[in-house]
Amino acid sequence: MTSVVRSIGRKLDDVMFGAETPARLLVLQGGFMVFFAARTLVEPPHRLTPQPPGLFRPVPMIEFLDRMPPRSLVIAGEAVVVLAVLAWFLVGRSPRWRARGRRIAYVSAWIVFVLLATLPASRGKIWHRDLLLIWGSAPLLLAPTDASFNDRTPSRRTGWPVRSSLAFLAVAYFCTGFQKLRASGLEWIFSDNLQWALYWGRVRGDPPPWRELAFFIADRPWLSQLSAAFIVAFEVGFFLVLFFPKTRLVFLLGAWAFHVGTYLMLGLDYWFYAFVVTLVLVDWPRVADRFTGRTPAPQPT
Amino acid sequence: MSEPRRSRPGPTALVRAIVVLVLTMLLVAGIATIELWPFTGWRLYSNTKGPTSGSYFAYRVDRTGEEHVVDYHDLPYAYARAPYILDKFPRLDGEKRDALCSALAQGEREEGRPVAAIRVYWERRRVVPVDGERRTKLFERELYATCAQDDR
Repeated sequence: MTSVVRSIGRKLDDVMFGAETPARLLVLQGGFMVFFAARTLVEPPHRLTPQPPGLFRPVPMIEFLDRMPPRSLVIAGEAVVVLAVLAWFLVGRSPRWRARGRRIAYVSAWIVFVLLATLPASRGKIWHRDLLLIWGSAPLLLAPTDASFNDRTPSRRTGWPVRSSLAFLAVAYFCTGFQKLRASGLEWIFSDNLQWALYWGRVRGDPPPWRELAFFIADRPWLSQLSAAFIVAFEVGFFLVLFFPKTRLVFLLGAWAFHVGTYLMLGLDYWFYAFVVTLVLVDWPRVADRFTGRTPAPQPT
Repeated sequence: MSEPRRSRPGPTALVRAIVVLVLTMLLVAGIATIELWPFTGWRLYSNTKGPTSGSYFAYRVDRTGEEHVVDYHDLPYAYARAPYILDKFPRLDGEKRDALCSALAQGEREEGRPVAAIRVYWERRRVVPVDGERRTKLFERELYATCAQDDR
C-alpha cells in the first residue's frame, strides 16, 4: 500500500515538477513576454478611459479605487509592459546581466499586465479573456532565468516551470468544463442548449463572422449535440495532457477548433487561449531541431 | 567539479509549496465557483440556453418624449460592457443606480443626443432564425425605472 502511494506521489511530482530542457523554458518565457506585449497593444486598456464612475465595478484586487485610473497612468502601465518585454529580449544578449535582468523584466511585465487586466475586469462582468495567459505564465515568475536556447539537457531545475504552467492550464480548462456539468448537468450536451446558443450568438454586440456555419450546426440537432459533447470532453479531459504527453497534439488541435469555432460562430475573441495552449503544449525547440537537422534532445521522462 | 546538469535539483520546497498552494486555490475557486478575480469560477456559457432571453434595456427619452434604445456601439468603448451592469439593475442600491443612469445620460449627451431621462425596461425576447439572419421578437416588456431626469 505504502509503495503504491509513494509511486503515485512520485508520478504526481514528476507531472508537476519533472524535467524539461532549458531551451523549452526559454521559449516559454519569451513566448509569454511576446503575448504580454501583444495583448497590451492589441486591446490597450487605456481605451477604457475616461469612463464615468457609474460604470466602474472594481474587482477585489483594486477595490480601493472608486473609478478608472487616469488615462495617463494606464498608458504609463502599458509602456512599462512593452518596455519590460523589449528589455527581456535585449538583456538576454548580455551574459553578465541575463539572469537578473530577465527576472526583473519578466516579473515587472507580469505584475503590470495583471494590474492592467483588472481594468477590463472591472466593468460588471467577469473577464476571463486574460486569465489563461495570466495563470499559464504565473509559475515562470519563480523560474530560473539563465536558460540558454542551445542547452538541450533536460533537468528538473528548468523543467518544473514548464510542467507547472501546463498544470495551471489543465486546471483552468477542467474547471470550465466542470462548471458546465455542475450548472446544467448532461443537459448541457443532450438537449437543444447549443442550438439556441448558436442561434443567439452574442446576445449583444456585432454579429459573429460566420453566422452561416453557426446556423448550419444549429439546424441539425445531432450536430449540435456532437459539438456540445466535443466542447465538454475537450475541457474536462484537458488534464490528460499532464499524464499522457501523446494526447497533447489532439488537445492542441482541439483548442484551435474550439477557440476558432467560438470566434467564427459566436464572435467571442479567445484567440490568446489558443496561442497560450500552443506555446505551452508544444516542445518548440524539439520541433525546431527536427527542421534544422540537429540531434534532438532525449525525451524527458 | 560541478554536478552533471541532469542531477541538478528541482524547485526548492518553498517554491513547490507556493506552486501547489496557488494551483489548489485556482482549483478550489473553479470547483466552488468563487469569484475573486483573477481567481474565478470559470463560468463560461455554463447555463443552458433556450429560445427566449430576458434583459434590462436602457432607453433615452428625448425632449419630445420619444424613446430611443441606448446603442452601446454609438458610445465610446468605455461603455461597451454597461449592459452587464444594467442586467444587475434591481440588485444595485439607489446611489449606484443613479450613477449608472447618469453615466448613460452623460454618454448620450456627449455624443450630441438630447436626454430628458433614461428609462430602464425589462424585456424578454424570443430568437427567430430567418433566412440565415438572427431576428428577435419582443414579447414581454415592463418599465422598471426612470432615472437621470433632466428637470430643466
